[in-house]
Order: sequence, then C-alpha cells, then structure tokens
Amino acid sequence: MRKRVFYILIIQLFSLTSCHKWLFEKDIASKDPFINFNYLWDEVDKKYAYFELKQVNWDSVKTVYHSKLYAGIEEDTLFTILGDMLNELRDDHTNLLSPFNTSRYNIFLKGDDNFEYRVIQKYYIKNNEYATGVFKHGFINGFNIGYIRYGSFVESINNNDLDFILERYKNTKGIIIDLRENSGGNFVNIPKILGRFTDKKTLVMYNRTRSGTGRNDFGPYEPFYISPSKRIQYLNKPVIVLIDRGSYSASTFFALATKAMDNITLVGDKTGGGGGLPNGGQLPNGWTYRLSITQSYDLNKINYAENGVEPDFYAKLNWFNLTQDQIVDFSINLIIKK
Amino acid sequence: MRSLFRTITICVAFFLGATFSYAQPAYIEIGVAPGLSFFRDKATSPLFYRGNTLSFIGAWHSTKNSNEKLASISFTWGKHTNNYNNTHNSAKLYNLEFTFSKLYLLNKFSSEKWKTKIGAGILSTLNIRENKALMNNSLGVENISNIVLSTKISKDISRLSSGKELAFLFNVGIVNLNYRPGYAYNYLPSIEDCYIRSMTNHHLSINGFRLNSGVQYSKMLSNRNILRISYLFDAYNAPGKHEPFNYAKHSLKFSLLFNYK
Repeated sequence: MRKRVFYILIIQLFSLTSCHKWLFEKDIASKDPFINFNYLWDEVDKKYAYFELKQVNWDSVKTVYHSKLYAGIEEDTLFTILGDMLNELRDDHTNLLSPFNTSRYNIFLKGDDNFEYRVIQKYYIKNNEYATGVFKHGFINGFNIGYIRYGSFVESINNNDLDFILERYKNTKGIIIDLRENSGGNFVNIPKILGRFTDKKTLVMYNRTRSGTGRNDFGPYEPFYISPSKRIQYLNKPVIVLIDRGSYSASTFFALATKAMDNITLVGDKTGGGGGLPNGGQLPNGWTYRLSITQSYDLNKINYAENGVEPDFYAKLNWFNLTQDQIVDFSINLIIKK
Repeated sequence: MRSLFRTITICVAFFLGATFSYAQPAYIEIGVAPGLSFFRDKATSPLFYRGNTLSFIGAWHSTKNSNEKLASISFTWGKHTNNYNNTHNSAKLYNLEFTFSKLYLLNKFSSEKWKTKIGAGILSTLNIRENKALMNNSLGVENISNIVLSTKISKDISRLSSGKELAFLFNVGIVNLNYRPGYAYNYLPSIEDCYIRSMTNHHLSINGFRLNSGVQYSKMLSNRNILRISYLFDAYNAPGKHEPFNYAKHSLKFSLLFNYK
C-alpha cells in the first residue's frame, strides 16, 4: 500500500510540475492585424518620450490608422500602415522591422545635402590623407590645420588611433572634425573623443527616461559628464565640428555636448536629431520595433536636441562649385581669425 | 526592505554555520545536463523563445540518515529561437546558478526503506540573454533568488547488496526575489566619470513563484562512488515591478558523485 502511494505521489507531483504551459500566461503570438496594431500603439503610448516636444496627438494617430485596417489584410499592407503610423513621430530612432522591410522616417531627406567627401579628398587633403582606424584625416593644403573625418560612431574607437592623430596635428593652429552625414552609433565614443579636448570634468547635458504610463512621466535628470582623457590631448586651440541634417543620434549627442565646451564651435547645418535613446521590442506577429524612450537636455534643461542641435555658424555647400567645400572654407577662416 | 535583508542574511549565516560545523559522509558531484528550455521576457516580447541548453554542474553533498546538505553551482548555455511568422529570431542564454539546501529526516514518515526529508534552501540564478533582433534592448540581465521549502522522498530500491535509490525532489519558493530592469530601458550605457553604467534602472521585487522538481536514480558503485541520472524541472515567474519574466527548463542530468569521507 505504502509503495503504491509513493508511486502515485511521484507521478502526480511529476505531472503537475513538469508541464510549463499551465504555469505562465498564455502565449499571445498572433498575426491578427488589430492585435498587432493595438500592441504597437500601446507600447509607443506607454514608452515614447517626445509626444509633447513634437506636438503629436497620438490618440488621433490611432483613429486615423486604425480605420485603415481590415480582416485578412496583406502583411505588406499592414507593415506600411504600422510604419506610417510610427513615422508620424518624425523620429529615425522609431522603426518597425519585418523580414521583408524596415520602416524609417529619413529625416536627412528633409534638409539639404551638405557633404561630398570627394571634394575634401581632391582639393583639401590631396596627397596626405591617412586612414587610421575609423578616421580619415590629413593636413589641409596650404594651412596649418588638421582635418579629421569621422563617418560613423558604430565601431568602437581605439584610443591608440586618437593618440596617433592628435600627435600628428599637435602643432596645428586648429582642427576640423567632420561629422556631416554621420548617422550615429556607439554612445561610448563621444567621451572618448571629447575627453581629448577638455582639461576639467565638464557637465555637458542631462537625460531623462520615461518612467510611467503618463505621457509626461519621466525619471530624474541624469547628468552626463565629459572627463579629461589621461592620454594625448589637444587643448587651448580651436576645434571646429562640422554638422548637417545627416548628423544623427550619437552625432546629435556629440554636438549637444560641445555646447558646453568653450573651445569647440559647431559649423554647418542643424543636426538631424535623434536625441532619444531607443528601446527595442517585439510584436505578437514576430516583427520587431524600437522607439525613443529618453529625452536629452542642455545645461539649462531645455529639451530641443531631438529636433536637432543648431550650429554656432550656419554654412552651406554650393553644389554648383564642387572644387570647394564652403563649410570647410568657413571653418578654416574661423580658425585663422582665432 | 532592509530589515528583511538583515533577517535573511542572519538566517543564511546561521544555516551555513550549522551546516559546515561538523563532519559527515560527503561527496563531490560533477555532472552535465542537456535540456530544453523556454523563456519569455514580456518587457521586450510577448513571445516564448524555445531552445536547447547544456548545463555543467559541480556540487557538494553531505548525506546521512538524519539530514542531508547540498551546495551546488551550475553554468548553463543555450540558444533559443522563435520562428513565428517566419521571423527567425534567436537569443543566447547564459545562466549561472547557486543552490544551497539542508533537509532533515521526518521519522514519522520514514522507515528503513523509505525516507522523507524536509527542509529549506536558497536558489539564486543570474541570467544574461542576448537577442540581437531587439536592437538597443538586445541584452537582458536579471537575477532570480528564492528561499525554497525543500522536500525529498526517497526509496531504497536495492536488491541484494547493491545500493540503489529512487528519489523525488520538490522545491517551492516561499520568498521569491527578482532583480529586473525598470519601466523603460535600453542597454546603451551612460557615462559618468570613468565608468559606464547601463541605463536599465533595475529594481528589486518580492513577487512571483519558483518550482523546482526532479526524479533521480542513484546507484552506489563498488568503490562507494555514486552514479546518478536525474530528470530535473525548473520553472519561475518573476513579475518584477513592470513586466514578468517567465522561464522553464527540463533537463536530464548525468553525474558522478565521488565519495571523499
């Protein structure tokens, strides 16, 4: 009898605990367009950081786009509707990804094109261009000025590369760092570069993260500091940073940070924005998305970087004269005058 | 919250002290456990990911008639996928787990062949997950720690002189702690001074459940070492403050216990 009880007990407890499905909430995998629409709309509603700055009425957006859905809708059409809904936020950190497409607002297309690297190579750093890690650089012909092209923040910067570059230009009158059409990448590279241009710990911006379901629920202001690098530095000389509408995300954070650094001047066009760090997620149909969940603020706690950081001096490329880069010319004059 | 931690710490210290204070027959266990696991982090996805895991286990056992102690550490690696709607997303899972338990014989429910033991234990699991499809949230990190009520019912199934034992193990969480990310987060770091801090705003919560059970067959070898085969099931739900993390694993453990006392 005891033996029978033992085995019954084992079998019962075993069967109760060995099936995980009854333990958790049901899997809500679904291709239903209405379920996926509502899920995405809710996620944005609960977490997006810039409804107020961008003056987007997210409830109205729901009404407009929900009315476009119907049962049996093709996946491509559903993707277009959901992607267009996200694009109402005018934010390239807010995207929808499926196996067959990625939605994107393409903010850089809303501004002028101000960059043609061929002009720099051919007429400004001819015969002395170096490629060191992620940087391309050279002396500007006829001037004692260094030009550094930094095209993407995606790859992590090697400090030895920065040492080499700053050693090469240590006797110049100034340097130009070109961030035009740099669409961003790894945030960590910002202090790696800017730490070379300051000799004191500098508060450069604040960030806040969405913290609740209310559209204005945010956590505390988190300070962002640039600390001086202990490696080779470039101090007490002018540094010009070139920006345009293609300078996005980490480039916008970089530009915002330079506003707090006296020796750095921004030249070009307003950046594209991307001042919100994105949060990624997945829909019930398996597609993935991301959306901006943080706000970035300048030292006066003004929230504008998401719409772009203004240059200190506006300058434009003249596409009818591609033997000159007027933005670089303007920067050369600024350095010479200082 | 602080007083709770103080109480837990004192209990754990007392428990460990009582455990290691006197000698009794002991074993070192080394094992490997292939498994099948499922998880869902609702902070980033409503979908379950399913995959194969491989665990490496090292443990210390001390067993005698009146009580039984176990301290173990295991490392698990797994690759999980979700292919719903042809999306083919995958997530790597790395998991480090510490276990400690102490069981006492219940004489009333035991005999020469049957043994029922009951006691308490601590389970602590650190998960590190990587799912590149989630972009800025590709990294998921959480800790699940539980004080569990432990039961072991075993039967000596030896015939003649060879020692064989069949046992059922069952642990249920009575204090369930989890350390999960905040409301909205990403793993792009913020930089302050010379250190990098992930913007995840983790919170400690006391909620959810944990169930841990198994059936183990042990055979005493002629050199007093033990060969053991176990089926193990582990499941937990960690609701955190915002979105739950669900996890379940079935595994088959093959292990050798080396007698050293």
